[in-house]
Amino acid sequence: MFDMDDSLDSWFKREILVHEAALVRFLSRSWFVQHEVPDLRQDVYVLVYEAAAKSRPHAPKSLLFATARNLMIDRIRRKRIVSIDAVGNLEALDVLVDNDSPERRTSAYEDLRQLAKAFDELPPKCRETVWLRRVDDMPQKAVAVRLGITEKTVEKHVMKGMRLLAAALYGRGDERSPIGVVTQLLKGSKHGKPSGD
Amino acid sequence: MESHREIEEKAAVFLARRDGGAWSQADADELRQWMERSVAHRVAVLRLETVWEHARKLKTLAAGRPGDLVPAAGEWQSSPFFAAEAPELEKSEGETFRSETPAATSAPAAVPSRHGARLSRFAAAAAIIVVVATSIYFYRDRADDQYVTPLGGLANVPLSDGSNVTLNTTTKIHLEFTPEKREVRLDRGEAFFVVAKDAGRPFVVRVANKRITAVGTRFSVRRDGDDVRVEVAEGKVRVQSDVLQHASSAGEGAAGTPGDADVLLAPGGIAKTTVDGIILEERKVSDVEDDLTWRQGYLTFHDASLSDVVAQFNRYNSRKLRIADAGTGTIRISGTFRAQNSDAFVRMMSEGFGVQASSLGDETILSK
Repeated sequence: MFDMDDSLDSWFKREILVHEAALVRFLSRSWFVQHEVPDLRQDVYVLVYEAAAKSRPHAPKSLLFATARNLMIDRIRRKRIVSIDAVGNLEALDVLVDNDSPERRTSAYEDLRQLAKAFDELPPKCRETVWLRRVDDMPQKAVAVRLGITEKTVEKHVMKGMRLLAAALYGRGDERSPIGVVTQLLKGSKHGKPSGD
Repeated sequence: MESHREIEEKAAVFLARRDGGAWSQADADELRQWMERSVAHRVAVLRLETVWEHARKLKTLAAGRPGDLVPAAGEWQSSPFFAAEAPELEKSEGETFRSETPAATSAPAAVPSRHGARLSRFAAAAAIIVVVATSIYFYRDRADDQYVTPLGGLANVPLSDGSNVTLNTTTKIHLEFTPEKREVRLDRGEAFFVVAKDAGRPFVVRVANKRITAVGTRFSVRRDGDDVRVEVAEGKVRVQSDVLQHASSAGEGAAGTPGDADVLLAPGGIAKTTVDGIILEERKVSDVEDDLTWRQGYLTFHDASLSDVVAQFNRYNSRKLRIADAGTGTIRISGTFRAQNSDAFVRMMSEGFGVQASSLGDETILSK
């Protein structure tokens, strides 16, 4: 049985969920069926959480990416008929994971910029609701009065708001086609490791 | 099994209700039980909690704003926070890969422009080995006006009329350009032609006993012994031979009648000729373009059998791959690979498919 205590939960938020944007990029680059990425992500989280419940890893981020990689390889084996793009990317991404941690330089500034952008993309009522709840700390009841909608509707906007923000901040992944990406990575890896800064 | 979407939705329902005023002990118990039912549930809750908490940081941006007005979308750009600091942080790490790729075929081909310099064979071969940094290399024997690529070679040869030929691995062509005609003989291997329009001067590729004529078009020709394969990416190409056969009895399209020994290929058209005749195939232009990625040094496969893939790799590499048993050869593969990096391919096969790779002489044997 796992230790389901709060400290594991907050450890998970702090050490694992913080890498979600990078994880999703990794998955969508490596995996050839884009719509399967969210399910993969979930499975990776479950495996990492279960592993951490038994023993807290020293290098959480490495565990996260190793788990993602192993999960993909495992699925590839089971499928038998599969695009080898996936594996091709995994090889190249070893380099990426070690040397080019995507979140390495996300400053507080950049964080905020992305949050503002994600926030701006929310539908109008949902956006207002999120603002009033999170910035002005207005209770849902007051938000309902202010916006002239029912409390139930406010609740719906909150639901939608958190999901859309999560999708915008982390879940979007990489929209380039897998093959294009493989080509780039292969070309990149020819020079040993990625360039840039 | 529940999908991530269902789980996320359920988690959001709980959290939005908790975010409101009416959150009872019973609700809290229900959430706790739901989270304990599966780690996937728990993780979904943690994730949305994290985001919702993160959204509080919008307060930073609200600092100094009048009252409790919700800012208009895009207003951020002019907020004091963003105005104060504007470093270029847009560059995603994906960009770093995009930037530094030398386009293989754009490497200078370094073709000597003077013709007819009579050098001894030996001196010519020694002097004109052109090695370009990205392993694109070929020999040109100036005396004979012929171009040769070794195993794994790839070369781009601009021609005097503005046309262009790309030579694949182990290829040899011979040029004969006169004021009346442009003729290229393909002795072996594979070449891709981009032909400059010149109505008065037909562009002809001679290969085995076939004659391939093009006016303003892009196409490839491959020779393997007496077998010839022509693929058209753009424009029209005429293939003439002694005998002609149809692949299917439902002969339609641009093909001639059996016995004609004369075919007109449109884009997407493929003609495979053997000593017995010509077999026609029509495919999408994008398929043909995929077949042509060798020009950038890549092989592209769509649901190809491992045996076909191995045959392709073996065209480029001295260390040959061999499949031990028929079963292994039926594994289906899609993807894009560096033609010269069969080692990486073998590693992927063993890692991803559990295929065993063993060395035997100068061969690598693949078995399941």
